[in-house]
Amino acid sequence: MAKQHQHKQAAQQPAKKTSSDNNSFTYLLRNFILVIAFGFLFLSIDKMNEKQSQLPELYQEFQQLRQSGTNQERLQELYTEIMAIQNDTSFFKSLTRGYHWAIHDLALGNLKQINEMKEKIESGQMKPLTREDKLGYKVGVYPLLKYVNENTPKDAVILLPPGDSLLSNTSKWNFIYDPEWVEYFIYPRLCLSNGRENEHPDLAKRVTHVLIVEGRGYEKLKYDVPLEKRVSEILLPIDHPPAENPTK
Amino acid sequence: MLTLGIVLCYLLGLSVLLLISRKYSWAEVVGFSFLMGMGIETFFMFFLDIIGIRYSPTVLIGINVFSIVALCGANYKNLSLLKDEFKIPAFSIQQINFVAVFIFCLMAYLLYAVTVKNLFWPPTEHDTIGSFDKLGRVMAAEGRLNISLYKYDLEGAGGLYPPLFHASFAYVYIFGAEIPKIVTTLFFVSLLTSFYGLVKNYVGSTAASLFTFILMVSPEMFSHAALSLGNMPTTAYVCAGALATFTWLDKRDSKYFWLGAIMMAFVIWIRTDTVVFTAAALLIVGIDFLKTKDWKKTLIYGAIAVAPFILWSLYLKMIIGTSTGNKFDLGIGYNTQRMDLMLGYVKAFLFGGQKGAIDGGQLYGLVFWIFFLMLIINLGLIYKKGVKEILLDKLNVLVFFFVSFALYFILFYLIDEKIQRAPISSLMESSFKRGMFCFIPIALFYASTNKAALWLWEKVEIFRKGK
Repeated sequence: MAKQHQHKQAAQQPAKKTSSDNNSFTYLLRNFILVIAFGFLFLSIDKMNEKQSQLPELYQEFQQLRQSGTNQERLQELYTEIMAIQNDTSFFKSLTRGYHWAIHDLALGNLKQINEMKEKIESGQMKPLTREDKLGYKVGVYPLLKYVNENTPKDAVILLPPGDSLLSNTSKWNFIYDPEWVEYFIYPRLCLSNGRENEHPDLAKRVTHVLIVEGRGYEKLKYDVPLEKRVSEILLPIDHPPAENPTK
Repeated sequence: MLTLGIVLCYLLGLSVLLLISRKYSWAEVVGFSFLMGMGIETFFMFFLDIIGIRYSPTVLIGINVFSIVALCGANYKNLSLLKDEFKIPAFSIQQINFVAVFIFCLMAYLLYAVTVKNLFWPPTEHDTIGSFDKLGRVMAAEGRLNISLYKYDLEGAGGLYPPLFHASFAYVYIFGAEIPKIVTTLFFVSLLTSFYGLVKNYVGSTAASLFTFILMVSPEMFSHAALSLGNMPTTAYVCAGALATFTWLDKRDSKYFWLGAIMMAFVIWIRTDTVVFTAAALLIVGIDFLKTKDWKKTLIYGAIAVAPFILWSLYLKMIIGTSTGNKFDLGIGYNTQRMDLMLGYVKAFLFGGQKGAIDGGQLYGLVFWIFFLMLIINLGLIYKKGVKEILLDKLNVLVFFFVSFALYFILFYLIDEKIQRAPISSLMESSFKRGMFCFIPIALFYASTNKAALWLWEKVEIFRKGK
């Protein structure tokens, strides 16, 4: 009887295994179908906005061709293409084009750019970038701020140029007139904004240097600098002329 | 050294989590440990400043090791049970959710890409240079919270914010970081994992991973995963605090009560304008009190969630000698022009379209559309499930979302442009826009866990599993 039972079990086992294999197969298939469905959805949304991200490049090419006045055929082609993209204002596209930008430009685009830089560094085409190099790359006015640090003692107080439209409307100078922003780069030195000395009279009394930008700030010096000797950008001690003019 | 600092931060958070409960998913452990750990580290730094002990790696390692040992010692019995409860999960093909694995792989690749960018460039955004990173660097250099820059008003706008964000920068600087942006990545990972872990309490891995993916690639917020601004970390705390509170009110698991209250406390420990979320959380807990009459829990929740606000206000007034100031014009009344302008921006943020320099769709993608669509579909289920069942479905979430949004709107409506030195249009295009991040996880939580969504995900899971 027991033998018969064992025999039955042995006969049933392969059948069970086959059923389990079938289950696993259908399970994998069902999962695969869903993966394909989700993948197709993501890819469709991505592809839909592909042209939008080409707009800056097309526009640049258009401008170059227009300036050079050559290849009228390509110019017309570009114009048609740009207009087609710009006129395509479908609502779903407007809601989803941010994803294309986030994934392709922000994440993958930057990854590619950084990897290229790393490759250049590894092959010796480029020197390894320090934090300072990177700051210089991103903050245009960083060399000037570095110069301030290299030419003043740690307890210096710097009078910054006035925050008027001449400086604040040009990205060339970043936020050089903003003491809260400049302080980041020059700490432990302190700084004060030109024209706002009355807000911190104690600090105003301690000013040791004047940062002159675009020729403005000479009036704050306690000595006269002849007009012909005035340079556009310079850091000068407030009390006395420097022994040797440190020009930028 | 930096790795040690980060590991200690995680272990500190984990020790507190295990004191609250032994039962967490892996996602919850990863997400909450860092948020909890960094929140507590900044409290340590705050109290060290008050008692006059300067920060240094030795002081912080000492205080961390002591706290972790003390917490584990106090929780010894509980921890000894962990070993018996821990089981190596059985492995079979049919237990792997391949759809979720596919989405996780996509997320992992994008996380890698954005992290490479994040860790490559030092902070250069105006607000972090003028405030957050500067505060962190100077705090680490001077070894205190009350830094010298406060004397000359050089601290920047963030100097008046509670210290969680910039103190987290100081924490990594103290442990030798050259740039503080590892903190950004850890906050981003915590946001995603805590969201996944909390949504997973309601739905399967497929839906939870899909909605975590949608959260992750919300365009404007995704860009903040490579910046060093406080909005995304604030979102991580709002997400963890609000979703844990909803889960507690729903499932009555007391671990979520404690997590909700503590995370809500950190919400107001990271910046003060998040008081709108504290108010909304207190409202839903207050409504719950009307049903349960549980004085004790309501009071404990309220006290924990509000305490940091009081602490920081007192610190500003008594130690730094300043206050958050009154930047509001309470006598503004009803200004049609301002209201129309703000509503125009809100419409663009929520439903897409152009307003000023804003293209709403480009900022948040489909997030708010999915939210409103799921809300309408859910309301459509009234016909099938009955009015009461549908109206009460995730009512806490809806009350929280709409009340906090209304308060957030009012807060900006009342801002005095002269004191803020910026027109309201500029504030809407910068501050308001970034503050909207906090609503994204709430909107996606509702969209993924309401009755209509649960019905849909059940069908998907039946298809996926074949049963």
